[in-house]
Amino acid sequence: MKRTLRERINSLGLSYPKEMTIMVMLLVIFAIGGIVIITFLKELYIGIFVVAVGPISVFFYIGRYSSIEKAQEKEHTDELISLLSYFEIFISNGNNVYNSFKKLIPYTSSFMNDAITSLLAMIDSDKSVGPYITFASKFKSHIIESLLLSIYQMVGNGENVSQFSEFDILFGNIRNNFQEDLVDGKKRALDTFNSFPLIGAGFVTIALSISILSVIGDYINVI
Amino acid sequence: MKNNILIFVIISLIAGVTSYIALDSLLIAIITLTIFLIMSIFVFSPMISRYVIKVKKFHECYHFINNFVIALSIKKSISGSFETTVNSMPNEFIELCEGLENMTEKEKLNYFSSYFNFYVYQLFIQIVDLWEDQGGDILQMSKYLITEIRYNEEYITKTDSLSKHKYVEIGILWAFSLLVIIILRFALKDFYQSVKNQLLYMLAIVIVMAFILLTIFLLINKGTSLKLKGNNHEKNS
Repeated sequence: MKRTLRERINSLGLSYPKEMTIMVMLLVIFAIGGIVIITFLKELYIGIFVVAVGPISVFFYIGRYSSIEKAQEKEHTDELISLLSYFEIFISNGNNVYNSFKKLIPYTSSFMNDAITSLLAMIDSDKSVGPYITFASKFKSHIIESLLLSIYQMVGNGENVSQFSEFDILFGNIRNNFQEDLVDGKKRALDTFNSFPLIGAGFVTIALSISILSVIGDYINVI
Repeated sequence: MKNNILIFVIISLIAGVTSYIALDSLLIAIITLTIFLIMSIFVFSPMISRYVIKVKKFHECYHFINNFVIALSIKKSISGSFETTVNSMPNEFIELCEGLENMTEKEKLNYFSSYFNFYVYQLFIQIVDLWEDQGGDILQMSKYLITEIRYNEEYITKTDSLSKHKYVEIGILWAFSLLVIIILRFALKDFYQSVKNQLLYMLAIVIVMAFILLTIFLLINKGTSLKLKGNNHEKNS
């Protein structure tokens, strides 16, 4: 189902009026800049180019919502995996699935708090696998659905995490991958800085070359 | 802390000297040096200090929980285990405990929730409470908690070593970039007197110095970020 821009902005936790104001401001600033260039500098093509930059910048501004959405989805999945470590601790200490989820609430973000609260409310009225699938559907990762199904299996199998339970095996693998992803993510983020010194040196070299050419140009003019 | 400041002073001096050599302007060199020193003392050093304290506290937290659980499994008493555990901790921590003489051992354990401000410590308290109420095998009860903390310890160790490698790597790359600027200045000495007054060249050197500051800031910011769950840790991690 196609969402409107307002729904999309609201779902990201951003203010719709504020976002619209920024977009309008971008359009107005570039339009004024273009008009000033056309009117006072008499540069028609440059003026049109500057005016056209407005809608392009708005297009890129809207485009950033996708990356915010992806980042939030990853953040929610990461949070759930961290919380399931705590879930494992609670359930191994004799709590049932319902109480273990309930005990997670003090350690949650507002998104996860709402999600777990609604899961508990659904479990209250529906003892089937339905609430677990609905909860898993809030996350894009399919592995979360498998995890939730393995938790549901626990309900039927005495609600205890053992070394051989499906949850323990599945979660053990996911946690190992999650740990590696965390370290890899940091490595990737730090690797981006490798190009900075090269950009700096390149920038000075270009500026120096232009300056030298300009000096040579001056000499030639004098001659 | 002292080592960090010394490293930042050296970086600031290198930036100041490079600006002087590149632009032949004492004023710009002094401004560069001052900005670098101010940023180092008021921004970079505190960022690193916060990170070092956080990592140190997590190591202490791991050490404390691990030792307490082992001691409790042997002594079967909270007060005895607490005493044994505290004695195995660093002096700073022992001094902190000495200031809590009026509290019972259980109250002290709860009090440390504000010192070890991590969710794993709060979970540890819950397990100790459960053990106190119902009894059982504390080693078995805290098995998953210890695993979780060990995962976090591994994460800290790996990312810390990764960050330190990257600081050195980027430092060497920037040193070579600055060396290029200095070599060009001496290699082009015939043109240098004319070039040094060109606005574009001056701007380029100033922008590069600003870019170095930005690199240091972003690198420290990324290098010191840790995903450790706990009260007040989420925002600055």
